[in-house]
Amino acid sequence: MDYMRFLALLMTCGLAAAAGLSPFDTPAKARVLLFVRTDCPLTNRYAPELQRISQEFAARGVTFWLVYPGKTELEKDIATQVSEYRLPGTVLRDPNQDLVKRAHATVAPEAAVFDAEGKLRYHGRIDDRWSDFGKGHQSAKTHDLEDAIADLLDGKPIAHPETHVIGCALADVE
Amino acid sequence: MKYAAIALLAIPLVAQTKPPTYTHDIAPILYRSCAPCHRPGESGPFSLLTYEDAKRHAREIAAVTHSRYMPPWLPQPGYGDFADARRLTDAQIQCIAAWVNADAPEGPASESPAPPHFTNGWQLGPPDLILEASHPLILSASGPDVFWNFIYKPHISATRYVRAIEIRPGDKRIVHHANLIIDRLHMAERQEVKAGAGFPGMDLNIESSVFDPAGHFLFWKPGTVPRVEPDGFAWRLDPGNDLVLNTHLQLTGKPEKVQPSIGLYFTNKPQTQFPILVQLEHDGALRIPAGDRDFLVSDDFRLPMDAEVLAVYPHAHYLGKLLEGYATLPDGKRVWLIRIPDWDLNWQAVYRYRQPVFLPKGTVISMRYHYDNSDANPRNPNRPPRMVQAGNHATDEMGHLWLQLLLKGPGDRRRELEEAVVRHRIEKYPDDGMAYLDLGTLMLSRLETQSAVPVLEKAVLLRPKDSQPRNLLGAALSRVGRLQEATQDFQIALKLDPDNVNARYNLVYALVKAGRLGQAAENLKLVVAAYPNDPSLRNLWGELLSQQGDYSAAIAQFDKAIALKPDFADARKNREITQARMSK
Repeated sequence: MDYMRFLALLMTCGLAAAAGLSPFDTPAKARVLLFVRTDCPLTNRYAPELQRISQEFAARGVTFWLVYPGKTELEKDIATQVSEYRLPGTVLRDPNQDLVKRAHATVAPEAAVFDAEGKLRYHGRIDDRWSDFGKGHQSAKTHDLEDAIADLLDGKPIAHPETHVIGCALADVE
Repeated sequence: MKYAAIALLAIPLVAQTKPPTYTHDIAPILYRSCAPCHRPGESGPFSLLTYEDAKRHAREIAAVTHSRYMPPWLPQPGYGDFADARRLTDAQIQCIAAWVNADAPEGPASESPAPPHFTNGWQLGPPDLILEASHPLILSASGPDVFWNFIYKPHISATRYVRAIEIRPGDKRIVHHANLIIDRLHMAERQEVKAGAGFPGMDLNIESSVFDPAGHFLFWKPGTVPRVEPDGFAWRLDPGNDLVLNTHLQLTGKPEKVQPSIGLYFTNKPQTQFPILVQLEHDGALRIPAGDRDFLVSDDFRLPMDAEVLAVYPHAHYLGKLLEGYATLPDGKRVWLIRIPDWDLNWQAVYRYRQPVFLPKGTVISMRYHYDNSDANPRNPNRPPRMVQAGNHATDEMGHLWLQLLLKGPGDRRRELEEAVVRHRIEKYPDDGMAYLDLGTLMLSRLETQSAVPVLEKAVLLRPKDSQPRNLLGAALSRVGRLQEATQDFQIALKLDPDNVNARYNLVYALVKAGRLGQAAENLKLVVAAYPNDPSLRNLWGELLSQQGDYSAAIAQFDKAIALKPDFADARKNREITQARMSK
């Protein structure tokens, strides 16, 4: 790829997409994919919790990826959301939903944890605060994503490798 | 049998050969029932104005309409006929599901209805007075919901009648709903740590005088056009009144600044109709054991006169589940006022009847609220559950059924109703000194002085450190001629609170009646210092001075009284008499 074409791509598709990054190209003890949408209020409300988790594990060889599935999300909306809410992780576009399929993700905000070999070990909710649209506790009791990452790093089996998530359907932005 | 089952299942499929389309079937539903909030600048987290908008949220729309989370409308149909119901029909919900199942087809553009027209900015046009919160509230990015009260001090020079209010909360995605309360006695500012800073709390306890009870629900929720009171129903705003905005705020994931404004719309038509707000409750019985899945709180109130119910406002916190309000007419017939099978604090609202509900005298109004304090309640704020009592934090509970009543019959019957309410309070809480105080106050106002005495004695017994029951007991005793006891009570009231000007004024009268003019004048001096611009106090002081022979000081007071009120005939006459005495 010549320099000018690279630059053009960079400008149209944003950093990560242009650089052709994949969560599975760089070595990591665990890879956390966070499936998000620009128009999903539940995603935004989880931003502080996602920051906390990413800070907790950043020094332990865990990489975080902020995955925007679908072709229709606008670059400017993504940039605004990431900077306003300080969502953690490297931004990735997933226009053909390849990562969505690989992670068996269905809604935003859903998290998926892959191990060092790139095998899916957990996918589901961040925590148990929401049990349905509009039915939320004021605080969480189980921290499913955090526990899954910790168990994986500690070499323990993950207690609940799949959990149900409340959020905005990813299929609607195909 | 198998074949029969398949055939049955096949029927709806055959009937649904043509799937619904966005333009023909879905757009009319979204325009009417969703777009008022789901549009730019409004409370909905995303817009639902175009096919692309709807398609991006198709599965969510199907899920939240199926569960009836959206559009938010809590009352069960058939249990009260309310204006502006936002509920979708079963057919509309099935239509949305069928559309999503068919992969959300768009349909021909020619079939689309005209897009809705919305007014931007103030919905009723420019307000007559705009109030802005003096200090913004800064919200953190995450945590539980915040309940905050903003105090407003409207600058008006004369009494105004308010026909409508509009609340512009700033970012409508943060302010979930708000209640405006008229605070005529400056109760709220005592709760502020710093003047103008506001204060936290889910429920507000703003006392109003029994002579001027609250009569309007001033409630705001997103997506509704502000209510304009009909002629004669506008409410009074006096110079010096405070307004308190009680808000429920939801955190968004980033720090936010909230500084709501209120628009007031005045009218020249003064208030001629006086509705009154009545509250059913039994917070004293709210002791919900941890894990209890169905805890019942009830209250029953008998109406002492005919009345119309104009609106109803049920309120509970996160543990409330099934909320019922109904009336049992004297003939035993039950009239449902409201039934909410799955209470959700987030969508609490005032519900106004399409037609006022007439209740004859002797009707018993009942509240039956059921609470779920188990872990199975997804909204339980305490994890694990703990014993919950009444309180104004989100983790406490409440159970209130507020009714807006218009009383029927000759004259203003609100005090009669208040007396019934206060007697009912005493039944529920036999140790409630405030209830005895209110009852005594009402009896005094009706000149039932003899019977007020034992009631106020009870208030004094229950609130021994409170100056006001002593003062009122003194007033009652003074009226029935027990001057010496009255004087003692006023003196005790003043010992408890030297700033109780009312008690000091009453003491002055008792001393005058007892002929102790010197002492009366001394005390009156302090009352005048508190109300320097009251001409009748100046006149009274002048009289006392004149009778004691201090003529020039007396004339100075009459002059001040006349300066304050030039047509003050009594003061002019007293001045002449004093002048005559002086020249003798």
